[in-house]
This record gives sequence, structure tokens and C-alpha cells, in this order.
Amino acid sequence: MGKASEPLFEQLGKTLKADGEQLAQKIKGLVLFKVDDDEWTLDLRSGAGSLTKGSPPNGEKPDLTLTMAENTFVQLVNGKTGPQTAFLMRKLKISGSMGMAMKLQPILDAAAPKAKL
Amino acid sequence: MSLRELVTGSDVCTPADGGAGPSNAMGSLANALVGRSSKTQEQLRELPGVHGLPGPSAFGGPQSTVDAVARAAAEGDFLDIPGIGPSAGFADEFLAQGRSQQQAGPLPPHFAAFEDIYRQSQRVGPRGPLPGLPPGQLGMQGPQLAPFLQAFLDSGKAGAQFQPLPMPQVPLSMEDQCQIRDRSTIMARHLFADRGDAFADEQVGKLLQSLHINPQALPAGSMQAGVSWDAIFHNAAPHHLMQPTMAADVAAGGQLAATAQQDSQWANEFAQLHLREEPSASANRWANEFQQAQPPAETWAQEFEQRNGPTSRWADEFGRQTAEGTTATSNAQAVDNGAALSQTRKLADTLAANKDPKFQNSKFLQFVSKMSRGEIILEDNQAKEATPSQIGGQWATEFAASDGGLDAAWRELGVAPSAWGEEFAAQNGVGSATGWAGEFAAQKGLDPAAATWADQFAEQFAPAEEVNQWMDEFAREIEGDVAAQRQNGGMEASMPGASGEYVMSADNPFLEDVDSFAKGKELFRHGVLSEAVLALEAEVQRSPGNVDAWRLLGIVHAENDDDQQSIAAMNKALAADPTNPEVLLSLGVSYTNELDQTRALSYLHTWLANHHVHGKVAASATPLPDSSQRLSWVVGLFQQAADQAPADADIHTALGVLYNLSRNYERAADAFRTVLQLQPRDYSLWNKLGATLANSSHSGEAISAYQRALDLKPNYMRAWTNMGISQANVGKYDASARYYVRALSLNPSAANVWGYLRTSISCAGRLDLMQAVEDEDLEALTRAQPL
Repeated sequence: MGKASEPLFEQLGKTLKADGEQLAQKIKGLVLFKVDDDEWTLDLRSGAGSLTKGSPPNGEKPDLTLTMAENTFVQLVNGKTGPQTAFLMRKLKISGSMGMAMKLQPILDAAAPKAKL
Repeated sequence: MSLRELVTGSDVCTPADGGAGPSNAMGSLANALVGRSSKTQEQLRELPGVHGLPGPSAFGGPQSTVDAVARAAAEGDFLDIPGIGPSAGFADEFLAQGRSQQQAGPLPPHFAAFEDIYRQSQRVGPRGPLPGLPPGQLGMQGPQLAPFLQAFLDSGKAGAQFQPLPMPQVPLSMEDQCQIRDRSTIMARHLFADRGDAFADEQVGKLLQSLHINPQALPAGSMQAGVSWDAIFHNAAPHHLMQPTMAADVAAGGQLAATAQQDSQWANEFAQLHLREEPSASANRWANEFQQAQPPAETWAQEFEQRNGPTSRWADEFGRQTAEGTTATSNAQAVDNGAALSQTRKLADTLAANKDPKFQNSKFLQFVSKMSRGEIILEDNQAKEATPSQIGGQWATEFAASDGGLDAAWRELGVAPSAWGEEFAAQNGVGSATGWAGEFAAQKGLDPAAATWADQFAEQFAPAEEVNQWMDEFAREIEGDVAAQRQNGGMEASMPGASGEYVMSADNPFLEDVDSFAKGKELFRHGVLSEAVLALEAEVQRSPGNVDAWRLLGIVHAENDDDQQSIAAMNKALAADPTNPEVLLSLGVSYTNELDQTRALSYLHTWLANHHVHGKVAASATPLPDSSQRLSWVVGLFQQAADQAPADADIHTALGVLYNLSRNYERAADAFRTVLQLQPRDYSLWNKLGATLANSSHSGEAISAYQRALDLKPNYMRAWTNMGISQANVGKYDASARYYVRALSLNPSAANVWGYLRTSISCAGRLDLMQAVEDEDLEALTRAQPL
């Protein structure tokens, strides 16, 4: 059951409510995360964006697909490793727009746990 | 500058204390740029390209160093700079390092473990005690000071004023006091270089004051009579300012010149390591791919040489050496290029991993990033327009535009400091040197405020309306939202409690207990939160109109880090008492945590409008000028009310929450600090202050605030969780896991914390504990990760 990536994606979904618009302006694309066996679709094409579990609806083609093990995703979000390192170590596979992949960091930051008041 | 150096005294900054001097130039440079850097320094030391920087401080001052460069250039030697060492020694040392890695101890099975060993060695450095330990156990003032000084360093990151936490009197010797004064002065001037010396001195003054050190009572600089702070700084500064030149030379150009052999060796070694991780891959394949990823294009150093030509003797000489070195090892050149770039990239990654904003904005990181971007751009199938020559040009321009102190050093050499750089840039036709920096800033910048929600909200709610009428409309709006969410079937709606309905626990032993409310209150007072929930749930099931029971239930859930349930309980309380100020404030906090600005703002505004004192501020306010301004308009109202009531804790608390909502973390922290002066024993305020600091990248300071909260309320599950988050943010994944385990022992049903625990355990490399996490075996976890 429980997965380390789940609360991080949950946090990403929440952060979209506040910062989605800003992120969407930066990314302007449809990003598909393949983390272990799970797929998460991050739609940052317009508005405040949205995050849904599963592949893109209506068979749409993602602009960027990021494939990695959960452990890698966790380390990326925690800042223990950087996207470039992970890519070089072949732990992160990127297909689609490389330019968009370069702007990955704000998305990872948005998924990091936030302290609660 | 690392705390280790600050406390133990072995850095380059204080010339006359007999310290050991810098162990390597790159490390010192990083120290000068980064706040906390024992980690970074260790990583830099381990980087293959930076190994050969041996020796104690041989930077005998700007003059000798500059002379050495000039002499080396004139003689056509490899840069025989004291402190860097000749190329032969460099190679030997590097190779020895490689060998010793293979002989001493088993080679790690794969690269991740290899990385972990580095991390572990970084953790060894004294970074202060675990916050849970009473200071008395530690005896010496060094460890005691560490978190305090860390807070001082962290304060600089966003240019915030240093707000010293109260510090017990620590016995410091005269020498220690001098060291703290000198080092913090030097450091502060590096950290606050952009804010001016006066600001830096002010920060240091505060630090000293809170440490009970009277600067006037101390002998002048470094126990030498008659040396002013300025003199100390200026004595120390050139060492640092020269280092970027040297470090950059060595990291980027010097490597190309004479270490191609080592580089290829390194590449092979790296490939071998990699091989162990992926048995199918071969060393050659890895190296080859690297080469393929690099077109045969020249490195920036070669570009530099070609473009710059005769305009600069130094650059010319340097370039020639580069060319010679490259020719001499031409058969290894391709590997060399790949390896050099990969080194730079690794360096950039290492540096980028440091979240310190001061460091993130540093020229050095920008430089290294650009180096590594050379590769990125080439791999980029979007084919960005940047060419190697442009990259080189940007670098040169930026280099030329760097610190005045560096310019001064160049002037001493008799070279027009920025002329060659500008010329070089002009030749390359580089448009804007700050383009990259601008892009970076734009990336990091915060968006002012989202507008659409405010529009929608304002359409339904004009400020002049009656409060009750507004409440109705607001309630309708919320219902609409919830319905819309259900229709969308989005992620949020599928989460438990997201529908806004309170979820009661099953099998409640308190159900038959008529005294459950009193017991619930008692349990809450004793910090037995999960049992208090049961007792209070029993109570509200029996008497659903009990506002206080619902409210307390909401508070307990908030302390248990469950905002969804807290909101649900508070909404029940609000249904029974629509203007209850505590309930409204708590809802404002919870929705702020859930990043739901619309609702957080609504509840906080309602709180103000109904306030018996401050209500008139809201009533007499000028109407909202423009719906997109709602957030700032409400903040303005609260600020006005707070100004009129400086001693009203509630209004400042609400103001702090609002500033969190508007991402104005500095003012939010100020507001909470104001309240803490009025109510220093309010644990939830300490947590709020901590969370504010943590969310604005001040995790170091946040940790001490959380510690205060936990001292006051040891079973404050939310603060334990927050502590875990902050520990992870500063890279202490092991400690972070301990705090999560503690939090979970208080509330095992916090699914998100279980997830965070997995995250930290995975980052700490404690895969042996994963099974215990999988089984949710808190007992085993507590045994393995005792706090």
C-alpha cells in the first residue's frame, strides 16, 4: 500500500492550487511522470494546472515523459540528487522536450513537504 | 564558512591565530560563498577534478599570488602557483587517491553507495547537538554555539535581520570571543556583501550582543592592538577574492591544460564504478557515450584563447598552455573533454544541491552552471542558440563584472581589470551578461498573487454587505465548490475527509462514557492527543451542538497534523456558533496550511469583521478597489488593526497567518515574534514561527523554534513532523527519520508522515528499515531510530 511518492504528489497537487498558475506559465506543457508502476499526469498547459493519477486523458501525447524509480523521485524531491545527476546516472529517463525537462526543478520544489502552521 | 571552522578556528580568515589554514582552495572558496558548507566542502574535496589542491594556505597575499601567475605565464610553465602545486604532484596525488580508494576498504557495490559514503563523511562534522539534548550534557560551548551560529548564518540567506533567540550565558574565553567576533565579521561581510558593510556590522553586533560579548571589552583584531575590523576584513578579503581566479583556473582551464591523462583515468574509474551498478554496461560504452554527447567542439578555454588573442598576455599564455597540454595528449582529448565537462557538471550539481539562496545566486555557481550548461545545450534537442563561444563570452563578461576586490587585485597586476573581459565579450557579440542571471531570478522569483480566485470571490462578496448576508453567500459558495469538486472527481475529492465531512473513528471506547468531554479535555491537557480525539468524538456524537467540544476536537486534530479533520470539526463548531473567533482563526490557519487561499482569506476576514474591538476597522475600511487586490486589501486591514493594538496577541497571530498566505514570510515571522514576546509559552506560536521560517528556506532557524514548541509541549505531533521536514531540508535525513518516527508514535494514522518517513529513510540510505516501515512497526523503528 503506502508509497513514499504518494504524499509528495499529493503535496504537488495542493501546491498547484496556490502556485499552479505560476508553474504553468513556466512549463506550458503536459508532463507525465512514470514512477515505478504509477503514472501521474501533470497538466501545466494553462490556468492553474492539474495533477491526476494515471496517463493523460483522451490519449493525449505528453510533451515530456519522466520515467524513474520511486527512490529516484523521492531523492529528487528531497534535493538529495539533482535532475541532471539522475539523468546522467540513467536513473531518470527523459523523453520528449529536453527544454521542458530543464525546468523540472520548480515542479520538484512544489512537491516537497511543507511545514504546517 | 563551516561552523567547524568558525568554532574551532582553522580557516583562512583570521591570519594571526595559528589556524591550520585552508585545506584546499576550492573548499575555502565555497566556504566564502556558502553559509553552511562543511557538506559542500567535503563534496568539493571529493570531486576528482579538485583533488590536487594540497597544502596549507600558501596564498601569501594578493601580490605574491599575482606575481606567481605572471611569472608562470612568462615562463610558459604550467601554472606553478603556490598552494596548487605543479602538475606532476597533482597527477600523483590524484592517482594515489584513486588507488587508495580501491585498496583501502571494499569498493562500494554501486555508485549510490559510493555517494553515500561521501554523505556519511559529511555528517561527521560537528553541526551542533541534536536539539533534543539538554545543553548541559555537552559541556563545551562549541557544540552549544553551533545551532546558534547556524541561525546567524541562515539569517543572512534572505537578507533578513538576524533575530537572535535568547541564549543562555555561555562561558567564553577572551580568545573565543575574539574569534567569534573576527570570524563573524568577516563572514558577515561576505554574506551581506550586497547589503553593505554597515548592515553586516549591524548583524554581527546583534550576534555578539546576544552572546553577551561586548566588542569594546575585547582587544582589537586577533589580539593585535590597533587593528580595526576593517583591517581584519581587508587583510582577509584578498585571500578569498583571489581564489575565484585560481579555483576557476584549476577547475576549468587548468584541468584541460595538463591533466587530460588523469581525466581519462578518472573517466575510466568512474565508468568502472558505474559498471558495478549496471553490469550490462561497459566502461567503454559509458566513456564513448560521453564523447558522442560532446561534439568535437572546443572547450571554452580554447575559445577563450582564440578570441582573446593578443589583448591579454595572461589569457594568451594561459591559452597557449592549454593548447600545448591538449596537443601533448591529443589522443586522450575526446575523453578529456567529456571528463572535464562531466566534472564541471558534477560540480554544478553538487553546488546546486545546496539550497542556500545566497549561494544559489553566487557568481561562482552561475559560472559553474554555465560550464555545465555547455553540455546541456548540446544535448538539448531544441538546439538552444547558445554556442560555446557565447558561453565563454558570457563567462568572461561576468568574470569581468565580478567583485571590486578582484578588480583591485588585477589592478595591482597592472592589467586593466575588466577591459579584456569586455573586449572578449564584445568580440563574441554577447548581448546581455545578465541574461542568464535574469532567467534564474525569474525562475526563483515569487508570483505576486493569484488573481482569478479573488475575482470570483469578490463578485459574490462586496465589503459593504452585512456580515450575515455575506455568511450566507459564502456558505453557498463553499457548497458549490464542494459539489464542483465531487463532479470533477479530482484527486482532492477522493481523499478522506476532503468532502468536508467529519470522519468519526470506529470502535470508540468512550461512547458510553457520560463524562467524555471532561476526559477529553484532560487527555488533551496531558498531550494524549489520539485518545483525546476519541473522547471528544464520543462527546460530539452525544451532543452535536457542543461548540467547545468541536472546537477542541479541531485543535487536537491540528496538533496531530490532520488539517482535513480539523477543518471538518471546526466547520461543525462554526455551524453552531457562526462568529466564534477561535474557530474562525483556526479555520484560517488550517486553510492556509492546505494552500486554499480563498477560504483562508474569507475566514480571516470574517474573524476581523466580527471582532469586538477590531470589527470597526473592517467596517470603516475603504471598499475593495479591485477584486484582484483582495489579498493585499485584507492584509492592509489587519495591519491597520494590528498597528492600533500592539499588545493584542490574536490580531498579530492572524496577521502572521495572512502574511504566510501572501508569501511575505519575513513579515509573517515578525508578526509571530511580536506575539511570542507577549505569550512566550504558547507552543503553537513557536510552531507557527518555525513553519514560517522553514517555508522561507530558513530551516536552521526553524529547528530552534520547533524545539521551543516541543519543550513546552512534548507531545505536539505537528511540531515533531515539522521538525522532521526541516531536518530533511538541511540534509540530515537520519535525524529527520527519527523525528518522523517520534511523530508517528504520537499519531500512527498520519499517512503523509509515513510517506515522509519513507522519503527520509530512503535518502538516508537505511533500506534495512524499509520493511519495518512497510509493516508500520513503530516499535522496531523506535528501537532502530531512537531520539
